[in-house]
Amino acid sequence: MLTQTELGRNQKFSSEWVLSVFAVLILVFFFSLSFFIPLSTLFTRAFGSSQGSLRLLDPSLIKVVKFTVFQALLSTALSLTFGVPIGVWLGRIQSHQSKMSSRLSLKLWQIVYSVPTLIAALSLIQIFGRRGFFFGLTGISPTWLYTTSAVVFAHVLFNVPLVVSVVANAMSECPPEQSAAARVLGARSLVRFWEIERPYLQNALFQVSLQIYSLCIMSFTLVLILGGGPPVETLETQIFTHLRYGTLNVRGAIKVAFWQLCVTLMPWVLLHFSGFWRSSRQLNYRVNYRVKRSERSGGFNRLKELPAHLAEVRFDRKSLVGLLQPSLLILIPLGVLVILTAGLWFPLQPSSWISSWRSLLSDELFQPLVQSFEIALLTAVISLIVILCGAWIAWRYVRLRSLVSFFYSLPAGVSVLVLGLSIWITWGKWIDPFSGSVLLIAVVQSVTVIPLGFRVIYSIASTRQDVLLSAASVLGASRLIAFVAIEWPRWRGPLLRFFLLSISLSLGELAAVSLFYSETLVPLPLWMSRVMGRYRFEDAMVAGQILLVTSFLIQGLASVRLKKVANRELEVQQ
Amino acid sequence: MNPAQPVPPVLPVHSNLRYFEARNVELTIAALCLKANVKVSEQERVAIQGASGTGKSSFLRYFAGIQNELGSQSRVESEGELWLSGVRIDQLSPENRDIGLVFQDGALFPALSVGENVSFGLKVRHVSKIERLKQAEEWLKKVGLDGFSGRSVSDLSGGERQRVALARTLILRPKLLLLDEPFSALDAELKVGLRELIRQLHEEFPVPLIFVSHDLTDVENLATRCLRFHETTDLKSQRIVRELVESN
Repeated sequence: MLTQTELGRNQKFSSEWVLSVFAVLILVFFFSLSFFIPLSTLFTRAFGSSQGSLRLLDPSLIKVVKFTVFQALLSTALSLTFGVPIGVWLGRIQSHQSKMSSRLSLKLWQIVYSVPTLIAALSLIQIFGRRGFFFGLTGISPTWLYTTSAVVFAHVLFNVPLVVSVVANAMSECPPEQSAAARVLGARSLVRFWEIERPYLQNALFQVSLQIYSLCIMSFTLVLILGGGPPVETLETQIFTHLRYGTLNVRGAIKVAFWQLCVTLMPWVLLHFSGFWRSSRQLNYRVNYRVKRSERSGGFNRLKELPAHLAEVRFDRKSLVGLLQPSLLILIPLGVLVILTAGLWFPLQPSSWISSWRSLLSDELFQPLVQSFEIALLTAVISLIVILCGAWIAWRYVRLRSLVSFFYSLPAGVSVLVLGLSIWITWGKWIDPFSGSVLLIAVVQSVTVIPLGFRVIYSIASTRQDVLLSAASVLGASRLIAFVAIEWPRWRGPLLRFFLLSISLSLGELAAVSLFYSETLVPLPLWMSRVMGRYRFEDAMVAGQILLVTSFLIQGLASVRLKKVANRELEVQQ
Repeated sequence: MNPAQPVPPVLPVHSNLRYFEARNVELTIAALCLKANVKVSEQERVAIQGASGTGKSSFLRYFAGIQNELGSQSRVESEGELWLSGVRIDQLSPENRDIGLVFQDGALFPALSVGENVSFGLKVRHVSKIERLKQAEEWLKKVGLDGFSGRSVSDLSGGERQRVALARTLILRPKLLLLDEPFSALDAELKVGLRELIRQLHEEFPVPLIFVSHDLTDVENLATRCLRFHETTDLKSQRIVRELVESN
């Protein structure tokens, strides 16, 4: 007869080991086929001939490299210039007062960031195009739309919300007691920011700067649509041109992709190692501090507020600032959101727009919509499985955590088009890219969303509930059963949210579908860019409206579901 | 003494001694109203004693001018006057009040070393670096942390943190010293040591001292006077009113 310990060992072997081996196999298989083998093929082909290095220094190519880096640096600098002050302001309000307006503001910034890039490009054309709203209102035809300015403007609009969110979150880590203590000691606002708040910000600022720089280097949709051709050509659009625009030039695309990898991977390697720069002793101190704060605030938070007292508004200077502040907090992100989406809702030719709705829904739009959903679902399923495998290994094997984390962060430094090209040249003999492949599109999209999802689940997987797990094993539960009972409730909310988020991201993604489409496989974003190229903006608007509403609905559903899960967990804890 | 009776003035207004006075102070926090009429001389160590969540710390924060800066959900509305050695301070910003406040956990700045924390106030007053370091070393010695100047604050124990926070405050020679639950995070042995240190420093550098504590032992061993809350309900406004009164 087996003893309790032997039984536990056998169960451990049968369930945990099988699962771990299975997870490792899936990871090795997926990352080898979709990432490491294709990228090594790209490197081999880039230096394939004796003159390989000379071709990489082609002056016309170097010019494109310089322009790509220039627009990315300019966009990053401007995004930080506008985003940091707003983030600091929002973070201070969140941390010191925690008002509803600041919470709403942060939500609005997150909504701005979730607008698909294609929608933003279409909206900017509708507003600032040669015959757009701006022209209708003022009679002035803006000339900056298909220039570098338009690309930088769009990049800044898109990245300011990211800066605001990151800075506000980093600021809220600074306990208000510290700022108050510095104030009592005589420190003025600027000194308080520099001496007390800046240390909390600098790591986040460094990371977000590199992230924005990389995003701007890898930006494809905005440059393709708002750049308007060769003068505003980046490495991304050149890869696309070599593969899918005019004559096929795979060797040319490989050269460009090599440079693209160099300028994007470098900051990502830096970014990954920057995670170790943060001093753990500071973090520990902060954690202790925050627990004490929450304990202390209990007294007054339980009191009910008197409506009569709250209704009393005196219009002195403080009250005006008190009214102006929340208004601005909400109006600024709302303004950005309006610029990015307003062009979708006010057709220049309403009659044509109405007829577009009727005709498109019946036939032309239906197939792209269905194909987009197929791709999105497949992308979400693949990425979820791969993330679960990585999270399981990170949770189970503490020693492997940094290695797993490193591998999962690598794809973030590779653009969709570079990865697509690598897969193209590696597996093109077996899967013809020109005949269209839902699987290849989904695989490329999965690899690009995996770093985002893994970052979310890793923070949960790396904080194992050891005490509870031991308690469960003392009660006779196997590790797998203990995992399902204790850890899974923490995992499922973020996983579900990531699943929905990856569907939403995939629906608006243009780069991967631009590489692997065919005449029968034309997903919604590609269909939109095609009809925009034919100046059928009303048709594109209809598709954009469907895409935007779907995207918002999915993300809304994700946050509602998450809230329910969080509430339930809170009830259980209470 | 009748618990509802306000605290009688200890000192005449035009005394040469340093003193702190809170005149007809009324703090409104949502449905709660806190009232105080307090006068403290430089020889006194006054305790505000009461259970957690009653509003003790709110008074200290109000005296320091930071009542709305610490993340509370409800805004604190205030009325009344604060006087410090003949100067009205309730209209002044916290930076200009010349008050020292030691927080419950010390609120040390994690990015700065122990020495930099202690000399922070001198730095913002543009004192030279050599002078700052010299004074910081002196004060660290006074609080029993000689040689700690270069250490990180995250390496300190709870008691050491409180000593650093005390040195950081006293180095500026404030006109009023406020201690917000200074012993709450410490074990019994450390409490005794810190209480003794505070008593010694207060005797060496007399300054009106008010501290908040929920522990009667702290009050009995350190305070020269004790205040506590007398609670009533204002039937008209349906507010809970807590007034600080002298405790026996």
